[in-house]
Amino acid sequence: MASSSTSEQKKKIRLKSADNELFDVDEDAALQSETIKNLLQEISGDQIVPLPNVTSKILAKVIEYCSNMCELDPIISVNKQWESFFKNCDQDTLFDTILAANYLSIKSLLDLTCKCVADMMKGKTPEEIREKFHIVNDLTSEEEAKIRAEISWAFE
Amino acid sequence: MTPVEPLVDDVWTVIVKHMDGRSLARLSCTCSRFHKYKELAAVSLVWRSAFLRELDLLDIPFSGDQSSNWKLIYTSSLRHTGERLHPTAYSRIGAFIMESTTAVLAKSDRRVKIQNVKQGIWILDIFVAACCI
Repeated sequence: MASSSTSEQKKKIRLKSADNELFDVDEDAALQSETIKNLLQEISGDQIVPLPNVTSKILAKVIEYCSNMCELDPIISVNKQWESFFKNCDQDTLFDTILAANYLSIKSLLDLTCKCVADMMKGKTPEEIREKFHIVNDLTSEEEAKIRAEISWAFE
Repeated sequence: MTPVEPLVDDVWTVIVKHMDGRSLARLSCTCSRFHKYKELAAVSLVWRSAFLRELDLLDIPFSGDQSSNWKLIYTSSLRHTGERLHPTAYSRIGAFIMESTTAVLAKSDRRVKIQNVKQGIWILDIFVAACCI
């Protein structure tokens, strides 16, 4: 596959977001996504890869992440920068990126963003978790009391 | 719509893998969806990760025994210490040699068998058996 592209010019892949914005992406960055890799095998030649589940706002971030991961900088420091970005971004961006990483099948990005969500829950009470993520409590008070009794150790 | 609603179970499996047992237990009493999660087979493996991570046992091959009730193992060990496990924080009081590859964790009337326990010297802390060396 790599032998067909010349070393001077990197091959570009053209992606189309849900809101019809086009992105030209280096092939090695785009191929971090298993989904794009599979789609490229299905479509022929230089066709555009449609990504109807990802908005341009999120796709731009995902492409930036994948390009960073292809650079020569130590991955660890790049990862730290992205971790701090996702920790400080708004919840919609974080959760939309999780959905995109899952759909595009980019394991390292999914792992990183999921870790941020896990960290957000650390040390919080059930009430605080509900409030933070707008979770509606559909348990009856009896059910909740029973569950809490089962896991009383978590409140010690 | 809440931000957590569209996340499929596969994604939640990744999230809970990064959580400690205490947070996971607290999440399980926020609503019925997350309460159900603690019954999933994948989540059982999460309890296993939480237990091994907190005891610093990540490199020990507990392979195979999928049926172990890892939540029970985790909560039993946590109850025993009464707080999050920080084995290195306790002064070491002894050691023992593990000759068998099978061990039983027990608490009151409940017992769980663990297979493929690493043989060799184990350091025994005040409350916690940890750090196979």
